[in-house]
Amino acid sequence: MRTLRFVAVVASLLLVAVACGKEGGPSASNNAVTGGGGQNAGPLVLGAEQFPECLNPIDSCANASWEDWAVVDHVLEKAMTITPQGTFEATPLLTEAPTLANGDLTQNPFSVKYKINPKAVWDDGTPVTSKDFEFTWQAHMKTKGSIFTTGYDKITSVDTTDPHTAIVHYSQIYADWPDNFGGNTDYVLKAAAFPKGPDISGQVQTNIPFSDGPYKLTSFNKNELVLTANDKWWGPKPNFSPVTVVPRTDSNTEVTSLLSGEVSAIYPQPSVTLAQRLKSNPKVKYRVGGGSSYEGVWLNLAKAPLNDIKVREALFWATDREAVVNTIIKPSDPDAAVLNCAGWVPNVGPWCDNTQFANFHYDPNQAKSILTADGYKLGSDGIFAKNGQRLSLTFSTTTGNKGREDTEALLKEKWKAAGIEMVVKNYNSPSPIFTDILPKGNFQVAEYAQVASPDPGVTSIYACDQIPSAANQYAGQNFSFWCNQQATNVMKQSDLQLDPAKRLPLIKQVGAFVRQDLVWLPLYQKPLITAWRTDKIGGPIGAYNETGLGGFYNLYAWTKP
Amino acid sequence: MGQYIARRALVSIPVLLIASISVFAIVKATASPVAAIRSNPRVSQAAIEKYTHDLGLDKPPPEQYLTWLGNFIRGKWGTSIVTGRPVGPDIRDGLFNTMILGITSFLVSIVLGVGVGIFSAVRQYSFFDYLSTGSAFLGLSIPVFWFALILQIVFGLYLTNWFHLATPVLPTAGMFSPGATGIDLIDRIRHLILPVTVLSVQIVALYSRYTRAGMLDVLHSDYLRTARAKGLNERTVMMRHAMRNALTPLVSVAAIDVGALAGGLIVTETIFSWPGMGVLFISAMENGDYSVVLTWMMIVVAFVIVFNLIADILYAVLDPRIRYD
Repeated sequence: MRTLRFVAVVASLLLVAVACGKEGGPSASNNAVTGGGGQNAGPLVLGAEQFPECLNPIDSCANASWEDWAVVDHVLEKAMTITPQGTFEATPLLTEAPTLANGDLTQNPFSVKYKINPKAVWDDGTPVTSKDFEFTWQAHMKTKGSIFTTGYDKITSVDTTDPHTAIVHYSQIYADWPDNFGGNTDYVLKAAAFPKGPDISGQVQTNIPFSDGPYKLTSFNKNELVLTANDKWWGPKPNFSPVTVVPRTDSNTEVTSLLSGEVSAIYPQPSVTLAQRLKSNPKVKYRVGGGSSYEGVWLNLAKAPLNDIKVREALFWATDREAVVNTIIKPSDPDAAVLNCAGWVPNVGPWCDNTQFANFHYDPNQAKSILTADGYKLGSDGIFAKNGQRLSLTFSTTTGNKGREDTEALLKEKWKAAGIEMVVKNYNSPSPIFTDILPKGNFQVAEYAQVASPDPGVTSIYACDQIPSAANQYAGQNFSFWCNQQATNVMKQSDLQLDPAKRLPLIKQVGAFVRQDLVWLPLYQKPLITAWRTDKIGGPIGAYNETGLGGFYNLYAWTKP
Repeated sequence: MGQYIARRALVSIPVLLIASISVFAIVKATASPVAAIRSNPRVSQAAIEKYTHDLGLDKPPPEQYLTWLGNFIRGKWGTSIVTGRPVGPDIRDGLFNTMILGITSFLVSIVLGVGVGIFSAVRQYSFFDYLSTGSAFLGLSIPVFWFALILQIVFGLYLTNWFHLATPVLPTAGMFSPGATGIDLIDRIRHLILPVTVLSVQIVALYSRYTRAGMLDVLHSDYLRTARAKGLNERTVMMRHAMRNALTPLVSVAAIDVGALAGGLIVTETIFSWPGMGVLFISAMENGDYSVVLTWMMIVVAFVIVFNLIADILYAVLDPRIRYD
């Protein structure tokens, strides 16, 4: 009996504990819809596959895309943003985009004039001013642990004479200027919210107590985050409010939650079975398309035998890209096609020439002819050899990525048919593959993805001075160890060109060099999926699915069905 | 007994130190907080170097470890090197959430496991005994992740569609309904049902086997025959005399299990989006966030040591033949 009493007492205490669970329900204020609500569509629940752990938009928290997708994109305004077509455009924060034509971009010296919308105010009613731009620049440079300093390190001053005009002066031309104060990852911060100065480290880790976006963040904990309409926002009023974002970090649970109606939209990683599961519920709709991330087979040109262009050419003929796309991508994205651009993707700006690698298709006999002409002889084991060295290549990718491991298995057979042996040696991601193996050139062939930005500059992955070495402490991301000085010169020239029309032929020239030297072989664009319940959301959800801004970017514009 | 406890406490100090050094070495060897940042094309090499320097990651590993250890001993658990969040509240909240899930499962398992075990032993070779034995083997064999997914589909989708309900029969994830305000006990309990079921199935199976075996050992012993001969009713014989001896092994196993709960229930917490210690550990480990991992580990090891000690003490309390002096 004493045991039973003990159990009863513990159970009672537990019930109290359950009721009081840490980081439980938001406070009463969280439920208050503070205005906005153009259509008054009521509350909405979204599922986040990687729930943000912290919110600081300057430090390493900002490296997590879900921090932007779930919170900051809806709370803070950017100066320039990205269109669904992958080009830059002004947000409602500006009256117009700075251009050479309107004189807001000057080349010598290089400056950018941001004309701030006079209606733009923070959620306490105070105006957004040029001082906020100046503060944002300083915060990026002076915050302990700041990770986005690119471009900001070239700013020499911000002219704040006119509160409604921020003139940003750079020390040199910086063609990717729209990615400062905006673009994929940056925002304009409120200077008055940080009285201690521009080092904002440790200050907005778990809350962003100001807003100039369509929503305000009213609650953030490990169970959920809540956004409510910002009634001071001068743009189109959000329809859904409050919007609760909940973690659904297990991919199966994420889909089940959507199918069961516990969440109304998700932005999941594609998988072979995902589309099939989503189709099982007629109330669920999804949009799928190639995103800005592109997968490829990357080669180490510094090491034999891949320093021989003939071997590279043979390898390209031996690689069945159609089969890879059919097997790995088409189950989730039936419209997917082999990518042929030399470093860009078709839906992000005009930069991709999708014919550059189009002539390479699977032809093992062609591969064999090239190798034979190059002095290789087919051995009794079916593998080519030259000077006693078998043509055996180590293929590395990230451990646990099923799509990539399936690609390896598929290509291994295809290469073998062409007389090339594949030895698989995979590594964990991001460490050590991106921190040690690739920078130190300890690989021969690797499969991984790059991301295409609206800014088409590829200097960081192709230029000679971006080759990692002991001398530069393995800095730089030119993991192909490719150095073509002519190509590098064109890249540098392109980085100084502000006029997109004049930049286009330079970028295409760079692509032609990459194709000519057979630096790598593109495979496909990684598909992105936004899925939602049609009984909860009307449109225009999914418009930004294929951009780096993610499927939830235009949340404020979503309507009831 | 006091000396024994003091001796065990002293022995646990080098255990904690060795464990923390080992974990630090493993974290350093397998993950880096800089790795994810390095793979972001928007982050320049200069920014990476600044980040590394700002967070003290460019210092020699022994210095990083000793700095952490010095702060930990002084009660300064610091902030996560990746998220900048204070480590203490994150561990506290994670532990609390894990304990809600773990203790509930433990209580359910103890009640069911002991009950089923006793009844099986008393009715040995009955239909119930065969059924419970078969069920126990099934329960022990079911993979946790698979069972969790099946429950989610059955209670979240199939039954909901079957009954044409607008909301799922049982919630498939989370600690409470999204956007819920205040404290709704029913809602909290509904969210506990599936994860507790998943956790309990294996523990019930295990505890019922322990109980059944322990009871069978004592049911035909002389002292029970004596108790019955003295005229005690069967209930008293079972509850006061048989159970006390039969459950001794189970008590020590259960005490150790409770200690191990602090480490989180990684699979269950991940599948059911339950923000406990397991989820905290996985996230910190993936990010190479040694400040969180080490503190987490110290807490977990401390729990394990304490509950092992409790198990030993309980063993002595239940079995007077055992002395630690």
